Amino acid sequence: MSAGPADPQRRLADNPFYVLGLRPECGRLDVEREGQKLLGMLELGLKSAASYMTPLGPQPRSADKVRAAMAELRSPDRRLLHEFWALLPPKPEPPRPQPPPKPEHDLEPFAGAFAAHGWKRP
Amino acid sequence: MSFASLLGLVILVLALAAWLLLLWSAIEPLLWLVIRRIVAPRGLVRTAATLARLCRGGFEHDLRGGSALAGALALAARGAHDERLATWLEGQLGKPGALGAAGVVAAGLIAASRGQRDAARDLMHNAAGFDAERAPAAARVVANEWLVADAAERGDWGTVMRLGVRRDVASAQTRFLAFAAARVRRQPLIDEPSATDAGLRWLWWRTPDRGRTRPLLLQALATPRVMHSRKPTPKPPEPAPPPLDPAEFAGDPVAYAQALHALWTAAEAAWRNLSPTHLAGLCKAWDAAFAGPALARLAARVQVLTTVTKAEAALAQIRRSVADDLAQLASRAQIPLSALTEAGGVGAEAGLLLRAELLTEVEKQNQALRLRTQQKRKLPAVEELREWNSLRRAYERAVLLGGLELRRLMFPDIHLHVCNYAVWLWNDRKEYGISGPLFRWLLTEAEAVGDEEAIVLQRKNVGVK
Repeated sequence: MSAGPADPQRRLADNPFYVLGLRPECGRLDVEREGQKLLGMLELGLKSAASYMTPLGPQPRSADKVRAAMAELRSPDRRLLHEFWALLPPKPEPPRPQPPPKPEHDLEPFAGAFAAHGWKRP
Repeated sequence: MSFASLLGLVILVLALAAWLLLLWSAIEPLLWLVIRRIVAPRGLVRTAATLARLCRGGFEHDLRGGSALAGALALAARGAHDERLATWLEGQLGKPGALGAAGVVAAGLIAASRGQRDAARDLMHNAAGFDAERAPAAARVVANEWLVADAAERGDWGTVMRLGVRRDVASAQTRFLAFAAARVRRQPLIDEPSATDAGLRWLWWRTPDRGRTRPLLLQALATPRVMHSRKPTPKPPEPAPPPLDPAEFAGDPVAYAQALHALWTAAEAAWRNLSPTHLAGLCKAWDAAFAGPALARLAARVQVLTTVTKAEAALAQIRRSVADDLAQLASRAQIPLSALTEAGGVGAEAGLLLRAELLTEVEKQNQALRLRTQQKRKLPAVEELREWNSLRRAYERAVLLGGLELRRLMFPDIHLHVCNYAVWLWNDRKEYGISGPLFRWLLTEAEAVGDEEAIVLQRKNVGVK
């Protein structure tokens, strides 16, 4: 048994419950039903199935991800850990933070700096 | 032919030879200019390398490196990387004999041509560490130009302004970039006046590729010249809303800890704003979650799902994952190890993991160096530098995070093996350019940890009283 991906970002973003759009307390049948439904929708190329929400925003959904999520949740031991990490409810994508304003007098990076020295590549 | 006419002929030949030698020494500096301005920009690697062998005065202590440097300049000027030519140049560098600064700069350019930019930057900095009297001026100029171009491309204009006007190594190109940046940013240069419009135009006129630098010139000319720094107080930026608000989950310790964890570990680039206080808060949130409802919640689900795993085992595994994440987070945000250990609980566990990781990395590389020194297994000089850079980085990262405690713990072993390594380079291999900076580095470290015996030894090695 492992606690899911070692990368915390992937652990949250690829959590099977978020991938399938389900909550941790759902039943086994719900997992199968929702998984099959999503696979069908993805096969038809429906936009509504193309992404899913996580607590940190939307993620792209693929048939492989859905199949992997269903497989993960079929094992009770693995499901137990995924349930733990899916405690937070998914939220709509928060508005993207505005980039901090640049200092009034600043320069952009000089993309041609190497070329200006006669070097085609850095 | 009489003896007198024979003697006259000999004198004439000798005079002619002396005159040719004098003429050659006068025009030799022009040859390097021809290589840089005409041969290298056309990507003629072998021609540039061959011609540079004639620059005996310019590369007095490093003729092989000078030739490779000319070739590497031509390699970098080619439209696409040519691995065959790069290998050929490395073969030139790998020939027996000590590697000089020009060779190191050449190795840096080859690495850059391969797209290994971090390694290239390290090597250019290594070249700057060579004794200025022995390092060819042309090589130091190229290294500085590369570092300035690298900084300009990354938008690190502060570095451009600092390196671009360094007296002994600044070139027309670097001076123009530094002065133009200073004008646009309205900041002064160190020990340099602010350039007039005419001065900026003159600097620009001397750059090798005026077409590419013209937009920067126009931007600089459009900025009014200031005689002193008039930096306005920048407005504080609007704080960006966090992607997740942990306060929403304040009623549930597990959800609160997870929200805080997600905010710092999973949200994009959030770790950049992480402070030791934030990290301590996250550790405490997890301690509260583990001491509170986490186990009961898992136990309830174990019954429903009829898992083989016991709730305690699942919790231990989750705890280990959390500790791993906290260790990685502290490492990435460069938070001192003490912030974790002082937090106690899961934070202390994370601290132990991080400490072990830092020490293991240094130990692994240090032992590899020890073994190689013992077995006298030589690497090409550039590879020696790469290996040393890698160990130094691991050590300095451990010092940055672990502080004086880890520095004192690591130093005796590092001192022993790095010193033996440097002595081997110095005595057996005559690689003074590599081993000299190693002794200086060891002296700095010995002084930092207060190791009197090591200080005395390294002062002797460095040659200071």
